[in-house]
Amino acid sequence: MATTTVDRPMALLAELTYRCPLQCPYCSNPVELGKYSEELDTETWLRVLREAADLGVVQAHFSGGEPLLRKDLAELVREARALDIYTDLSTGATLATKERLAELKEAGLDGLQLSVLDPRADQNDWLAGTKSFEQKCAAFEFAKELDFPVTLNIVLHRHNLDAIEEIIALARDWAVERVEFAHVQYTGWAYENRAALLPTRAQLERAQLLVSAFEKEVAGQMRVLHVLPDYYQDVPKGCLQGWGSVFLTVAPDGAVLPCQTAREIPTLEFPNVKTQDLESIWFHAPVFQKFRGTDWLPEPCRDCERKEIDFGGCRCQAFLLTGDAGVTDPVCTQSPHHQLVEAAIAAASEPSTDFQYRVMRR
Amino acid sequence: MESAKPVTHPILARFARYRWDKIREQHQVVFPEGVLVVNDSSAEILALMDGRSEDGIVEALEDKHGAPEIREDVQEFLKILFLKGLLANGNNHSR
Repeated sequence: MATTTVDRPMALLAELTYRCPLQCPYCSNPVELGKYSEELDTETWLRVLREAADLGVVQAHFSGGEPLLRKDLAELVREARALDIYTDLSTGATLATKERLAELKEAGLDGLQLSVLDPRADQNDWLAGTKSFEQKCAAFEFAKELDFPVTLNIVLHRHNLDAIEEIIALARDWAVERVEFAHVQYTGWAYENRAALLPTRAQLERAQLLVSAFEKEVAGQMRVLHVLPDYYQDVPKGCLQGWGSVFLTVAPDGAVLPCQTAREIPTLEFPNVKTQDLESIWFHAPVFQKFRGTDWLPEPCRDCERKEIDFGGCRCQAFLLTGDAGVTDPVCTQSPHHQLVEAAIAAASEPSTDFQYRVMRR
Repeated sequence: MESAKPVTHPILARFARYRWDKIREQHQVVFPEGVLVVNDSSAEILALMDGRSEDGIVEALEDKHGAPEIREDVQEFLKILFLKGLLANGNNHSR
């Protein structure tokens, strides 16, 4: 029986669409993309933003898929700003024309996050499955002209980790305000492509040293974020700061998810903004209660001193690796299933296998 | 390698924004990966971070309150912002 009070959420991830011109093999969208092709209309998204503000949401992250595919993006940003919500956009940037960015600037967009897959043009285009590097560079120039504070997002994995010097050089050349070095998290498409993406420990350790040195060097000028690959940690990540604690995701079709990858867990049922308001979903929907707090925790988490730090780790990862979303994240060395992670790491020293690109499939 | 320049005219990093949260009744600095909750006196410092020098901020607060140890409070708060990567230099023309 949960006795702790439930806090209001701080952050909304607004996944406006699962459509995307890129086909990145580590996309966090559901593998069965085609099952969720329906999208909310503008009026419903505006209502979602108003309900989110009333519920206490402080920041809205507009993401996708490619959110610039939605023609109403600037209208949604404008409404969020009118509600005094901090607005942040994550984009692959291939559709970021100067006109679209100017429209977003005028709407009050606070932060712009541009992804580059690899600082080498040919590698970027290979990973994206489509020619996109030049467009990304052009988008960056437009963003600078418009005086946007820019975050450069780079997802790290086996195929680009050895180019970490070039990645750092790109961040330096572009003189961005923020750079996020984010290792692939192995859910969604990345889980299917894990054997082709997971780096070796040697690759990882070399890159970590260089990123740490860069972080120190640019302290006070550039914010450096470093999301570590949890497979190589001894303890799990404090996923979402706890399930149903501060984050909620509204998916393109209106499903409300405690985590953007929660659709990985087929036994969960998700409420929808079309039939229920966000406040009742946050406080009462069974799926938000399921792993909230620490009362549900299994052994060995229950008696662990880290239970208020990592809340048992990632539920999606627990399900993907063991078939049971309610067990300790196998990344933890205390997990009875930890050998599954060790086996994946051992396989990472094998020659690289092919990955499959993200495609619309049912 | 050039080391980080000292911040002489502290302002919030451009990706960060101050807001008053009327539901939680608290001052917040919001940035892409999080929220920093600050107290009333820190919020007062934030309001003065408009491109003036650190000395200018301290003087403005001394004029208003006449209390000692204001400089220490200002420096302590600026250090917190710096460590969180939320501080920029508002007098960057020579860059």
